[in-house]
Amino acid sequence: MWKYLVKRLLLMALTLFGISVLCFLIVTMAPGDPAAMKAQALASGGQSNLDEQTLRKNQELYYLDRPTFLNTRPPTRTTTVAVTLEELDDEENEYLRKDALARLRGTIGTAALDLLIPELAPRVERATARKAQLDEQFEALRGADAATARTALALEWGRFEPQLPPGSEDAAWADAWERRKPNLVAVVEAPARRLLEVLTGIVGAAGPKLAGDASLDEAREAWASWWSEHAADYGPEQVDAVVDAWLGKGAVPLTEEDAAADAELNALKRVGQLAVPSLMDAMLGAESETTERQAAFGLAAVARKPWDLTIDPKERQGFVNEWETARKARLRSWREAVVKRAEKRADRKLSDAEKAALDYPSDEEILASYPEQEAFVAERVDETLARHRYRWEDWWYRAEEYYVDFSGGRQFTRAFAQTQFGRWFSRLLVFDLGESYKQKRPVSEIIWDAFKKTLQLNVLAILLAYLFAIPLGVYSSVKRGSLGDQVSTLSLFLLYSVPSFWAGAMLILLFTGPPFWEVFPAHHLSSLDAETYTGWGQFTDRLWHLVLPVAALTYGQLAYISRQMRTGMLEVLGQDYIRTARAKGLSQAVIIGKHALRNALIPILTLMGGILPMLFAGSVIIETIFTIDGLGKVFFDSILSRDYPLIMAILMISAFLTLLGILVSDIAYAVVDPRIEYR
Amino acid sequence: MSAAETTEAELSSIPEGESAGQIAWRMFRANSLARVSLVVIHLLFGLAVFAPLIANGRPLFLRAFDTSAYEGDVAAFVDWHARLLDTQRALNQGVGVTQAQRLERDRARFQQGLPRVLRRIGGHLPRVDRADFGLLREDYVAAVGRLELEQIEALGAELTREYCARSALAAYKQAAVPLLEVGPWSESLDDALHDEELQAVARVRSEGAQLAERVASGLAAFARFRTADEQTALGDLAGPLLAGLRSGESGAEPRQLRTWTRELEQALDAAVAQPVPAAAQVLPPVIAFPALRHLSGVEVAFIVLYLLLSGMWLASRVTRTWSGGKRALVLLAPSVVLGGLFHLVCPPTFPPGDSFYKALAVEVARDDTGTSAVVFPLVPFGENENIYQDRHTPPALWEGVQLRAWEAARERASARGEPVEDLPRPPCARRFQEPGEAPLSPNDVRDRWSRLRSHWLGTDGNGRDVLTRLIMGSRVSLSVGFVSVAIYLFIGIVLGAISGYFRGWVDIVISRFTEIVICFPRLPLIIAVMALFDKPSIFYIMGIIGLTSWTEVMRLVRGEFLRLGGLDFVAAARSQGLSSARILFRHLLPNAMGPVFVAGAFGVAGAILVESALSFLGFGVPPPQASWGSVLHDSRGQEQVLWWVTIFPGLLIFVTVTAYNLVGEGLRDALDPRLRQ
Repeated sequence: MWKYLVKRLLLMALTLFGISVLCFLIVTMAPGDPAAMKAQALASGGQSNLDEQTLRKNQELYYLDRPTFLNTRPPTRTTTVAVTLEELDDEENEYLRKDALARLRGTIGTAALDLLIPELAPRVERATARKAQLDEQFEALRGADAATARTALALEWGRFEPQLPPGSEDAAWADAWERRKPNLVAVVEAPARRLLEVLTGIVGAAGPKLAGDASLDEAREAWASWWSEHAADYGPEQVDAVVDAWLGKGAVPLTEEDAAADAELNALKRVGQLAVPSLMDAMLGAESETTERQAAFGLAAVARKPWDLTIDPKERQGFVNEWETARKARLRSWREAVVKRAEKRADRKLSDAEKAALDYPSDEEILASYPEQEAFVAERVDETLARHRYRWEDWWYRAEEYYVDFSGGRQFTRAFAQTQFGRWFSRLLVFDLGESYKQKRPVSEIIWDAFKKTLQLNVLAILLAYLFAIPLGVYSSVKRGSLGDQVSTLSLFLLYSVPSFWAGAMLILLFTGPPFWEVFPAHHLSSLDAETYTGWGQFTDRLWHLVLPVAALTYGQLAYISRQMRTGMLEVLGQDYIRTARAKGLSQAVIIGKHALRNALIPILTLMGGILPMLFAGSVIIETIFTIDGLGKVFFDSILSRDYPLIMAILMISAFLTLLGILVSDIAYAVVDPRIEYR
Repeated sequence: MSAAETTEAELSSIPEGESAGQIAWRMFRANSLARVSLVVIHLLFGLAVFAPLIANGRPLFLRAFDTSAYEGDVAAFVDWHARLLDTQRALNQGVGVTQAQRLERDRARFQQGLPRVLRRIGGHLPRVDRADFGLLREDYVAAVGRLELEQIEALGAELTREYCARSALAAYKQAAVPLLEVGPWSESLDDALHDEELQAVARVRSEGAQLAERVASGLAAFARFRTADEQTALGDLAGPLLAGLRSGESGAEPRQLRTWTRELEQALDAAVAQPVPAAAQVLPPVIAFPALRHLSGVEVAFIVLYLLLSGMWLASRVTRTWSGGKRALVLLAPSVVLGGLFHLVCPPTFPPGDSFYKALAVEVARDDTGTSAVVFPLVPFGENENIYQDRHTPPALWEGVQLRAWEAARERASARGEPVEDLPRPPCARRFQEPGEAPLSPNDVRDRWSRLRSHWLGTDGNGRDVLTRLIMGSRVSLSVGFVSVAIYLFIGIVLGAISGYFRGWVDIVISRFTEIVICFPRLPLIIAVMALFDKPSIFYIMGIIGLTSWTEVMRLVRGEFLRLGGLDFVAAARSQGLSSARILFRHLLPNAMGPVFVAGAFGVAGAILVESALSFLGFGVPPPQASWGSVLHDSRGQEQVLWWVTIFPGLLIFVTVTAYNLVGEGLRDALDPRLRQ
């Protein structure tokens, strides 16, 4: 049996992988760019003009700039810097150029210094060579073969060509070109100048001092000598020393003045992004919270991100204020609910005097279940910290390639991991379902909230279905051919054919409104003012709301299960051992209850496998009709708003549950029925 | 009855040499519920096939006077006449060679066309007039032939005037245009700042006399077709206008003229809205079949096929010449063929019924000469015909019941001598009563009720007839079942056969894949995939249901193949050296089809349910189109107000699904010997 189990589990893992691939495929097949949609969803107030920048940022955020399934060139630090340098020289796309500049100066920073400084010399040389060539060409303009030289220049520098009237003198042409020479030189020098700009931006005041009009050669000299002096400052030993010093400090500056005066922090800032990998390691592998906080603070300083793990007094005060506001709102809304209920009972608006005379609970009573300030703040702090940790991990997943040169093995795994699917799947493996585009909350949180409601609905429905279906099936099979059997069989058959959405609509039509009976509420799972009810009141209110949706969910199941039960029971009743039991003179009750029913229940086990996924997302239509904010409705809404993380997560989970259900029912089958052999 | 006895009785009742199919059919026929369901399905398909003839906004038959044809011809004549003159004048002035060639070509066209148009106009005219205009027309045609400009102009003007008798309004309006241009922007003449306005005023002042002539001649032409009373009335109305125009500069204020023109025009418009008795008696009626004309060829073909097959089935029932199996095939065939092909070849939309026909029908109803007639289909509404004032109409029968009850109550009350006005009115009676109107008597209401009776199942929130939409929607709902099931049967059979026959790693791969697909919950998956399409369409629904639901069939077929593969007859076939394909398709597949048929019958019911659910949720057919689910969708959120929109489509879905389920049940009982007890 264990062998069988292990085999099944292995197969299950395979199937799960297949499921995730299929799920991913379905969603990536979708027309429309999710990044664009996401950006549109973000653009508030009807501002939907998306510029390239937002789009690209979003694509990066959702990994849409990566290949779908296989990354043949997984980026590593060297290639990333090279690609960014290429983008820096892109003459066509100004946005790319600016973005590359910002990335080199801001994100990659000192981590690329050792790659960028050697790049300076060739660039300067190239610029010098081109300048010399230019000088020659300009000389030729004044020479004998001026026309040819002019054509050559015009061909090369088309957009700078001066416009002169036809038949102008050679000298005039030469003068005109001469006036444009500074522009040409600027273009020629641009790559080198841009790199210089990057370098100055990275190193800042610590870099070589250069005059504003320094020539390229001077700059190259200055940077070369600076680097020969300071290379050690940016070497691994120095970086490790600085990081260790910072981590060993064990305290973070809470105010800006403190931060400015903090020697270790300043040292860290000077080392810059080079310290990111070791800080990240320190943070992820931190054993104590203090170390983690220390590392995160340093990381936030060098990587220029706002997600440090330090809650300073100002932030804490913000949470306290929040608590205060929420508390006030709760008191107010409670009073309003009391008034509303009284008005509903009286069926008219109440005057102010009457309102004042109402029996309000005291503040203490209302706030009985309200969290204390400390607990509230602690919870918010935990939430914030968790969010920030999540952000750091998320960021590091992509940004690692800026700072680290990966080994061959890691390069290989990254060929699969650095893809859209790889990213989604690797997060799935650690049960990270991502964040909803629309609601800006973690998907798992949304699903859990909705699942709690769906569970109430479906557990009740399934319980009721089995509770009624099994006796009904037994009854009609035992009393086969009787009037009762015929009536129940036919009515169950008809019930089975009733579309559930119609049943829901008919229940609403019949039981919730003026033309017919107004007995049950039509929507939601609780009254609007349910909060003010007592515990028992809330319970009955909930039950009252559940009646119609549960009825609409139950009848189909009921019909199906009892038909299965009847068939199974009939088959069993025809068996020899039942005849034997009868021949032994056993009572009908024992025959049915002990011999027949037990065996007839075995096929029902197969149906049980379907319960798990049904509990999860088996009520999309009913929840939509009855406006219950359960998983079904969440799924439906997420489809309407194309909230892909949510869609994928719900599909994925219910597929997984189906698989689990099949496995469980198979095993149960094998356990219950000894005739079944494991293969 | 014990099992052994049954088998014996069965064995004795089986005729010699009965095939497995015949046995199955006999068993199936014994199931009366399944037989009835088969007939119900057949009738439902009849509803779908004949939908445009049962429910349509266009008349099936129409006999009426085509007044528009005459006016169109006269307009063509006026236009061509003017252009002929222009062309000839241009030619006379002398132009370049190419242009001359073009102009001559045009001229030849007009020269040939004008006599034809004149003949056509003559055909529309009463005989008396035809004789009157005959000479004039001949003169004109002769002048056109000779290209004598002055004569053409003079005769043409005269002809125009005469012909415009019927379309006098157009002529008059043309004449009165300058009058109407006066002062449309400003209240008094002093504010007349716009250039156009000033020009118009100047023109009216200087050309008053000519305008008066033209207006008068248009009016006179128009009056010829009026009764004496109407003529006097028009004369009275036109008198001051004409007088004012004729007096020129010193005459009435142009603004006053405009007011008069307005009034006159309104009077003329009102007069034209009335039928023209004189013309009605002499114009030849036009006979048309608008609903039939809008049938596509494919629809006609399906109607013929349906009638043919139904006829054959009936004939075989009456004469009892055919065996049951053949009859079943004949009964099933139209459903299968129609369901399968309906949507692939003809779009389910039907153009909305033209309001033109409705207006025409009213006119025909007013005609008391008895020469015109209109026959609407049983349900005289188009699929997407919005009648705004009729929205939220409950089913006609329901209104009738309410009104009758009210009437009876009133009678009882009046018999007892109580005041009848105090009785509570049914809501529909209240609906008929305009604000400020005197209370209706039940008789009034019943008249109005009979006018509205046509909405048998009421209307939805857009004023569309629910019954029409249900009938039209049956095409979508019924065909979805068949097509999607055909798709998934195909996929399932192919995959199942391959993995069951070849076994080994092929089986493993296919089975794994099947397991993966099984794991996705069906409805959420279909909804998710449907939402990916920007433009929903019925074909996507068919395809997606087909592509996601094949797993059950695949497992069935695979199981059957695994079972059959071990049997002796397969080994025998192999030992004969038959090819794999032959063994697969000729020996194994026919033996494995039983459970597949059963799954198919249940599958159709399931597919109809899925389509309805999708349409109900709003992912189904695109909005103006109807399917049963989308009609139900129209009642969402206002179930209590539009209870009839909630009940009837659901009922129809329920009946259809039940019928298919019963057929599936019957098939299973017939094909599965284990269950024959």
